[in-house]
Amino acid sequence: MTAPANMRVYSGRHKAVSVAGWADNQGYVVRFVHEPTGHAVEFPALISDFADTHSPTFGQTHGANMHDPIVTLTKTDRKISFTLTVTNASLEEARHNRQCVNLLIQMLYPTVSEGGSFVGKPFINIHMMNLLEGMPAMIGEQIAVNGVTCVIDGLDYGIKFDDGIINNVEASTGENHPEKEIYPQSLEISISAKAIIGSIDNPNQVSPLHENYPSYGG
Amino acid sequence: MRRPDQIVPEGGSSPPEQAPREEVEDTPVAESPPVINATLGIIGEALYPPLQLAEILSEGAGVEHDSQPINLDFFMIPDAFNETFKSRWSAEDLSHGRINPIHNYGGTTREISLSFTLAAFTVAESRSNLRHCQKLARTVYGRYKRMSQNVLDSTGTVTSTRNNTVFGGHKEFRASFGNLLQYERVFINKFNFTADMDAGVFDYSVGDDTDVTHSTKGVILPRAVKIEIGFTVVHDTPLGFGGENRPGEPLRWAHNPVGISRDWPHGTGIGVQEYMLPTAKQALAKLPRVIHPNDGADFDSDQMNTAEAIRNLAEGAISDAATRGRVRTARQQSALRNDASWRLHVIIEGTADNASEEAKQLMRDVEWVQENPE
Repeated sequence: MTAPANMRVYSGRHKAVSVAGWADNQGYVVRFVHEPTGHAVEFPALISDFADTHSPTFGQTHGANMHDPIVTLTKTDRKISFTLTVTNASLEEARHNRQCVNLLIQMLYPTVSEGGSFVGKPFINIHMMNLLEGMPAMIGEQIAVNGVTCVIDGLDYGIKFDDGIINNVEASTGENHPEKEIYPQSLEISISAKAIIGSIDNPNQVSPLHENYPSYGG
Repeated sequence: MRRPDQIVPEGGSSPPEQAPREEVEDTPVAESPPVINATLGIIGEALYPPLQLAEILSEGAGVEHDSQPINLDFFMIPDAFNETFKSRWSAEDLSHGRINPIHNYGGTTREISLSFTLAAFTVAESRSNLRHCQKLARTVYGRYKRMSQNVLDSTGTVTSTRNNTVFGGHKEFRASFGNLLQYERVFINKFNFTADMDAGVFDYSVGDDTDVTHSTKGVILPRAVKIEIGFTVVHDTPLGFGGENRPGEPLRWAHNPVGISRDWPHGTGIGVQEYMLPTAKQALAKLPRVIHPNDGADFDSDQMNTAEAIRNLAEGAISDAATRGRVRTARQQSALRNDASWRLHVIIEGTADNASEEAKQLMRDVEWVQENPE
């Protein structure tokens, strides 16, 4: 039986000249865990455009001789979006990060039964320092998570070639190999997601929300 | 291929005519002019992989396609590569106060947008680039087929043949771009062509066909064109974790054929992670589901009759195979133990009151082998 993948921030030979070293030093790490399988992947948290929007939806009823409506709260949605920049300082790091990004993309897919039907919905647990933090939980018996379970609607993967590229020199000077390796110096991954709000069933607490929700800390 | 003595200029200056290699070798090295032969192919080959598109033709007898298939393999200077993965989720709100709706997952689609520049150092290269663009533009149009139909008279004799042009849907391609796009089945959903006039054009000059001028009046040959092309990927391999190729391995990526360890969606040139490794044994194909009469289906339907026929065939085949197997075993055992005492032993065991089914069957098989020698 295959163990769940646990791909950590790059720690190879070029860590000292990589953003991975600084991220590791400061604890700036964003971690994604695919809940149906337990596969996990981490990136240095080079985050931009982070937004965490809590949107209530109200029903309004207007009565006769009333200025203001009778308001009924229907639900509150939480949407999260951010852009993650992945930078590569060497070919070795580029290859490592490519595999990490591959796993992140693969996390958008479900587990499939042998008959071909979708079994495990691709819920992804995202932990980003104190900005995205949820209640500690277990996936299976061994994988502990403490992020926010999300439904990722879309993932955009973008390379700007003007920022520079890293090539595998041997392949690039050879024949026109169709699988010639090419890596960007940096790439951006934009993620938009809906959060599944963690609730608790505690008889001593009235609200199903955790008392520290949404755990921004401070 | 680029030769070692070729120098790539940094700017976009046009190269002078290059002497053939043999002539250069005959002259002293110090006196030879600087050899500058920059082309898009040389720069592209040094830095980037080629973009390869091969049209997948539909099959069918008597079908004539409207034109030659579009196959392209060229170098360009990529500007941006964007890939979008969209998951189809639908949410059902059940009641007031419920914190989370129920999320249903429907699948994930993948779209790619690639923008690049086709630069030209010479008139010939500019013409070549425009030809590439022309072919690329046709990729987003439909496919047309010509089908022949015989026209019959009242006696059923063929009097003539009529050709009908029918719309055959969109074109599909196999696309490769280095390790970013690995021989994927795609259709092209966007093509945008922009002539970059700021980069300049190759001018017309009367009767002067050189690398930097042309003699065709009224033709614009841009030095650079910018292209944006969009792909929608239609995967023909299973995606997800587990699945039919990974029996008992729900944590492994669904597809990695035996013999190929390839990362997905983008290649890396190093060994794949454990969860991507091919499964040691290929899963056996599943037997078709057999519908039995007591399943409650319409017993007289064509489907049930077909299912019953298949079931009979399958059971007959299994029975025949079992018989052949048993007889072969009996023959082998008879051949190995071809003595009367062994056969007598088998018969005694097979006729005993407490004989097992296996012993009885062996006895019948041995008797059958005796009666039907090879």
